[in-house]
Amino acid sequence: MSGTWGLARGLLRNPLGALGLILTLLIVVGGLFAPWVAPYDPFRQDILARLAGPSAGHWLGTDQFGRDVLSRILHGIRASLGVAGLSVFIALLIGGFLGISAAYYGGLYDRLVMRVMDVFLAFPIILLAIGIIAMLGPNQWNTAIAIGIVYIPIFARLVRGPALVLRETEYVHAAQALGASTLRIIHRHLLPNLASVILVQSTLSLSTAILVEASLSFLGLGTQPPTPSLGLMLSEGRAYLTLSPWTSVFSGLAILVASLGFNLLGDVLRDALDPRLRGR
Amino acid sequence: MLAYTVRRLLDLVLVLFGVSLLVFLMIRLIPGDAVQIMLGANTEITPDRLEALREKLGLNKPLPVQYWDWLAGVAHGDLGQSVWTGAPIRDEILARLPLTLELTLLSLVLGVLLSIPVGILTAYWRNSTAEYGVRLVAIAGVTVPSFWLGTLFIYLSFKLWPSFPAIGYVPLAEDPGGHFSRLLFPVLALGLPVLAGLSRLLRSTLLDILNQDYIRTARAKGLAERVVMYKHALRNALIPLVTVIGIQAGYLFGGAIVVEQVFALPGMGRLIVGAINERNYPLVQGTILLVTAGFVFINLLVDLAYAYLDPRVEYA
Repeated sequence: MSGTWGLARGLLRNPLGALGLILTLLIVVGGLFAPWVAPYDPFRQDILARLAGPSAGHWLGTDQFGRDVLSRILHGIRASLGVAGLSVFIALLIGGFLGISAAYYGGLYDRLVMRVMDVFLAFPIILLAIGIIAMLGPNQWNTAIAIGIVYIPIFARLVRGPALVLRETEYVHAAQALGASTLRIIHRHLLPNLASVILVQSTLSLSTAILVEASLSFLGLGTQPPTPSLGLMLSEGRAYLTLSPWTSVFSGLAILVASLGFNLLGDVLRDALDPRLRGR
Repeated sequence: MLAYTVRRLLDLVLVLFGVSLLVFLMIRLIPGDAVQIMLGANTEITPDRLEALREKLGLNKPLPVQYWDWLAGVAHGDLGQSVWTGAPIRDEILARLPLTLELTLLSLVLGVLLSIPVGILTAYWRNSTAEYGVRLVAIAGVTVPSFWLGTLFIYLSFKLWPSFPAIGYVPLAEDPGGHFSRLLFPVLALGLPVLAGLSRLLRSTLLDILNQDYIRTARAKGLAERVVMYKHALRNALIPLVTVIGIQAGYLFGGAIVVEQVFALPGMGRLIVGAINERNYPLVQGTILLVTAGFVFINLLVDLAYAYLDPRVEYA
């Protein structure tokens, strides 16, 4: 298997990989292009048509203000992808830097960095995120920062192990002997070899970040109304559950589909990139 | 084993010190004046009130002194007072903690107990359809939001059995039947994702073990399949399961905080969300510190249990 195309073909040959890819594409395209593909303005209220079930005019029904549920879900996915994507980016950037530099420089610096990572890992994920949000104040971007901070140690640990091994390889020693700068060695020799573990972990982290963001928004600590958010919609819909369950049912389903898509993709990618784990 | 235990205990002290420092700095790192934010959420801000609250929280002393005072208090079980009610934070937490712990524990037990038969059963399905099916269901199970499952349970029970008490809380001492029937759906909503994750882990461990030589020997000498599975394979397969229980407990506790809101259960979830909304920072601090310390200990116990159960673990 070689290059991106080989990887994509390998993914599609596995039915779960194909399913993961399709779900992820649906979610990403639907979310990114929400302003263009959503049939209605997500804020437009139609009080006479409120709490309606699925129909030809509103495929997924309407909420308590008569807003179109499908349009709000598409915009909610957009917000959720934004937060999840930003948080994984923060975690990857800072965690990756800490992990690689700890492995490369070793010694006291390495021990200190990994100790601090241990401290962060000791907190239950949601609780640490809640604590950070309590400090920064609840809104969409602070949620992304909070989840990003919580995920930093995961990436630091992930890259440190393989980076330690790579540091001792002959080609890295050769590059050092030739006088290559540290940055060049990291850029040319370490990062390309770490790409596959980083890709897999980022995909899986997107899946869990979507769930954490939804949980926090559900608690009222994430995205604030009236911005469409999947967790918030699910929470608000509960007040009208017996009258019209559609808002809650479909927004929860959207969270599941988004998280499932990335997780399937990450799971199959891990198999494809690490043959030892195939089929489990 | 003793040296290993001592080393893990030293690790624990270091981690707890780091945790306490981070939690302590929480209020101090709030952008802007934390005291002003706290007051502003509840009453009119006057210079007198600002100074009084600052004094009460000890924020007018040098930072190391503040930390030492706070730590000394924590060591004596004093987490400070709730900013608004004046009630000791320890009491507020202790009043809510048992319910959340009960939810966490029951869901964990449900997930672990059911994962054993499910893991064994699915380990015997070994064609490619089963392979994909098990994996899809397991991944879907892990990614399904518990608070959505709970909401669906409430709706379905309303439709199918309107008189069933799906929401609310009854203390155990008052009515044990009512207590546990109200916990049924929350525990299912929290436990099913655990079941999905653990079953998959157990299945894949079992498949590895069933391919080993000693299993072939056991079968070759004519042992019944039941004996091979339960006496030879399962015992070894349970070891990796033990190691993830600590992590699962942490996830479950976080999940319980959210699921409590779905079922209107008066546990830690309502306490901490309320505390954030009224800017009751000391309460948020106390909760995070206490719960995290609890999980640090649980993970230590899990590690020690693992080292004890599996002689192959290196203590070095």
